Amino acid sequence: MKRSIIALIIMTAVCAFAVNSHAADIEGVSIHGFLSQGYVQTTDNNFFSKTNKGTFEFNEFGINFSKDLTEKLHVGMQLFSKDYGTTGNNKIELDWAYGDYHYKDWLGVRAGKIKVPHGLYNQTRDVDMLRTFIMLPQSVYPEVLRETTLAIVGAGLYGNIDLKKFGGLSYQVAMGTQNIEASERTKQAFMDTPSSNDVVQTDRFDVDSKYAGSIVWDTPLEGLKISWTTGNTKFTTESHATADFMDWLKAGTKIYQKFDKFQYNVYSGEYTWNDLTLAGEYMKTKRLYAMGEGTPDLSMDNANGLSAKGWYTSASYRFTDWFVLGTYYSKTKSASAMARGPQTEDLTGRTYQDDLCLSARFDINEYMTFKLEGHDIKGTNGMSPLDNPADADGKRWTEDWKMFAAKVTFSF
Amino acid sequence: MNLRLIIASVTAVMLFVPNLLIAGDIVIVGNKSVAESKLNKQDLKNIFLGKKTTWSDNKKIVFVTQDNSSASDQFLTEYVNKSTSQFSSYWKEKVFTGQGTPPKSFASDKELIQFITQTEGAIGFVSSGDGLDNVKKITIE
Repeated sequence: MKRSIIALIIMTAVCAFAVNSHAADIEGVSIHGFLSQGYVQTTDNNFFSKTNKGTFEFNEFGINFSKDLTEKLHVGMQLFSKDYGTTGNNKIELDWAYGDYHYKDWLGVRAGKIKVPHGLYNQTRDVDMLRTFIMLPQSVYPEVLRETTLAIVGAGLYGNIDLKKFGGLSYQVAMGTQNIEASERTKQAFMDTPSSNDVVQTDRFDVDSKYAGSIVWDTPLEGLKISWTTGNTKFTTESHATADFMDWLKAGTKIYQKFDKFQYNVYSGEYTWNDLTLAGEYMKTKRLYAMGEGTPDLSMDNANGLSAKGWYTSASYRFTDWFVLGTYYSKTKSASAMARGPQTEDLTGRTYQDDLCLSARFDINEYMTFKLEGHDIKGTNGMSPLDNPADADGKRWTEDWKMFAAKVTFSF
Repeated sequence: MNLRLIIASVTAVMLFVPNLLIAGDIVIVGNKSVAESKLNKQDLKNIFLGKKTTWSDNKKIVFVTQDNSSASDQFLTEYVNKSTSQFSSYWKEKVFTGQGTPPKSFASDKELIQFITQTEGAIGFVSSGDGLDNVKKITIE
């Protein structure tokens, strides 16, 4: 908290004096960066951490370096730090880093740590300045799984194909693996856990394989693009019980979850007409996992199958050079969240989340943006039980709740 | 004067003057090494969106823009179908995902012409047809 406030003060000072800042170029190395600091306040439920008390633990900082080594070979990397309550804590990490060989416009190869295509906006979700909204719609971009959808360590192909009178086609595919920080919160999000017994701690994520791909069609209708993105991750988690639970789980017991499938498909459309942008996306996720004790060699014969779907529509309109107003309605529905976990508490609202958002964006200048945003939310699907401990009466969730956010971003 | 002639004259002026102004305002220019002397609008758009990166002789395309100016606004709207802020966001998106490097931008026609004169494969736009002896005018079909 203290660190975030200091960061906010420093950033505000930088912004105030850096109105004429440009990207730096040193010996052919281009340097760009961004800093965002936000504030989140929710009623009742915690969106993350302790947002119902209001928090400044909501920031992102990034700096990237890139250079053309030859006409066709490009290298670059981005260092990134964020604080989302208990996630990130401003630890500096490698966001992406890869070499890019651009053979032809229709075929290029990238190798390294590559941003994952997932819907229209996943690859840019760390950069607040590139969108109208502070929070992306949770139906397609669930915050609790953000860490797991950002990057692949491996290699991929990409290209742009000119379809002449039929528009243009862009594609990306990437395969490899991923490092996921061990987190009980993340594991529970993968399992869409409706509740938590608070006696299990996750020690390790081991990703076997991951792939992701996208096709974007820029249609002949100017401003209209349609896309399909897909991906799958196979991984195993290792956890242990920190205490006895009922009569079937003893403290110290090793627990393994083997995910043979964590697959998503996102179908997207975006239409830009002058200063108006309309967008809509639909996502379906499928999960298949087995759970057992003592050994990670689990059979998938009796695996659990889970599915969830979500969609949103959004509109934003730029009224002036400095003012944009946007809104979206997002709806998430999980088919199976109620079917599992301890049923000793009221889980009403855990299977869905409906979110009506209104956002105002103020472009102070080319390098600085300020946003205000309000959400009227029903349902709590996708939110972590670990951030929302049960009270003395065993009540954990409030079905109708609100969220307010403000954020300032500086980029160069 | 005949009323019909007046109406026809006014209509003709209304129809053609805006086009003449646009055609007269923006001139697409390239380095003299650029193989093409004509481009279609789609190719020009793809160049400025980083989707077309080589000329027909396989030489690298170096595209450049001008800082915020009426010429820049007009060029982006007319040929790239994006507003200045949309174009800026497009390239910031490329930069922060490592998928591209934004074009160099110049403060004036003179600076841009100087760069294009000296840079093989370069293409850009200027607001008038003056002082273009050392660059190649590129026609947009």
